[in-house]
Amino acid sequence: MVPAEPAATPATNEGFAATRWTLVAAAGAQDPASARRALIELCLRYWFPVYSYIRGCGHTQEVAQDITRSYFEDLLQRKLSLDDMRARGRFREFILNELTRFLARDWRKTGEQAAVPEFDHPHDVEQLEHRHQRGVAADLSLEQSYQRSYALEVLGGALARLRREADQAGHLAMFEAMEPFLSVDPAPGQFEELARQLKIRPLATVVALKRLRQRFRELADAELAETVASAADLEAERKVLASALGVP
Amino acid sequence: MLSKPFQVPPTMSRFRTTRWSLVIGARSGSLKANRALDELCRVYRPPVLAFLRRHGPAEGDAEDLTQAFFEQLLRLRTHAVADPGRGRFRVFLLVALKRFLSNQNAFAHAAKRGGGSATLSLDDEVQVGQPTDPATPEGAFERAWATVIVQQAAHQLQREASAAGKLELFEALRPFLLESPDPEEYARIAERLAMRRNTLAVAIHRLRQRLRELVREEMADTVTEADQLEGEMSTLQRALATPSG
Repeated sequence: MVPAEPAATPATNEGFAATRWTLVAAAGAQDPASARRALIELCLRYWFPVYSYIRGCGHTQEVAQDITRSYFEDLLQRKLSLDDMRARGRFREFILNELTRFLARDWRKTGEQAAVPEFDHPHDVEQLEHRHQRGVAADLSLEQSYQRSYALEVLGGALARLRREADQAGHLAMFEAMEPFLSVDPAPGQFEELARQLKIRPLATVVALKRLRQRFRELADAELAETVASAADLEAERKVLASALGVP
Repeated sequence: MLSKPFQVPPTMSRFRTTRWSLVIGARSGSLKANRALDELCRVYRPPVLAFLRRHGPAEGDAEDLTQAFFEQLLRLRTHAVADPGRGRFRVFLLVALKRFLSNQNAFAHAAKRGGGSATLSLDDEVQVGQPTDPATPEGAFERAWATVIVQQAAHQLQREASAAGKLELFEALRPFLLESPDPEEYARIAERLAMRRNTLAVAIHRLRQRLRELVREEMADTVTEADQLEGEMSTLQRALATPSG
């Protein structure tokens, strides 16, 4: 369980230090094992975009899930260091580049992994498929569907953290009532209804929703910050993912 | 059938000499060009037959007509391909076939007068990129054409597998080149080959990828310019996606 943490996303260059990249790098010097665990956790978090990409190649759900599993096994058993990964660009690009290389290997050399690394299977296929069907349109290119799924995964991570924070602060009911309005404005009358449901004044509801949205944005930035190495990269990633989601 | 069986990024950087460019570019009577045309006509007989069957005559007649068409074509040789602007063997063949049908009598007379003097003109407009009804002779032609291309590529894949000592794996995976396996079916195969399911799934993906490359190579043999290849690939995709009528 990741504890609720303050937004690790200072918008300025000088404040930009504590990204997962840099933390893992620093920890690696002292404790390679825990650095590796953090890295594995980071990789596995992007299971869904990889699955989406492979589904887009025309495979069935089961085959896509099996290929996704093979890919992560291959990636993790290579024991890449953080420096290796950084040399290959942003994390999003790194995962995609490695994937296309993995898929393009000569079929005649397809063999068993020497040592299959152990990791928890992060998603079941029904859940993945549900998200894939909901989030990815059929006319997207493979790369576009990857970007989009990656963006959805980042937002999903932020949402999960927001929920945990709300839960820890004893505001779970409020969070659940307001969640549908994080990215969609309430229709006329819905604010009042929300206020009645939460037993607070309409004006307080407006303020609470505004804060929740602000915190959601911060957490989405915090998620992204874990996958880039500089503030400039963060800004660029924000743009790429917003465009993948069709947000101006 | 897969939704996007041949969606691949173009990878061909340098366009090589193809069998069809050899035919087009050769002066008449070149041995190499003649051989290339012979081969192309032998390989691409099925679409002509499919067209003629759908066109009307009873089966025996369609076989005879196909035979007569190719005899005519090979006798006329490079006269027939005097228009290099056409570029694509598939279009050439279809136009020549339509010409052949409408001019059967004229050809017969010309042949009686000594043969070889008639030239096929390729100025018929063939619609390119239009969806073709599979119930029409053109649709049947397109579909049979696509099937030949894929079969040729699959044969090449089999030869590669054999050379690499991977024939058993290839044969086990062959049914999944165009169709997806159902989960139980492929769990069974994994067990039989003593492979993990994950590994088998990756092998299926890579084998398909290689098939796509070989399909492109096969197709490349029937065009003269790299940019025609994309159009031909779309035609093939469409023909394979259309249910046979």
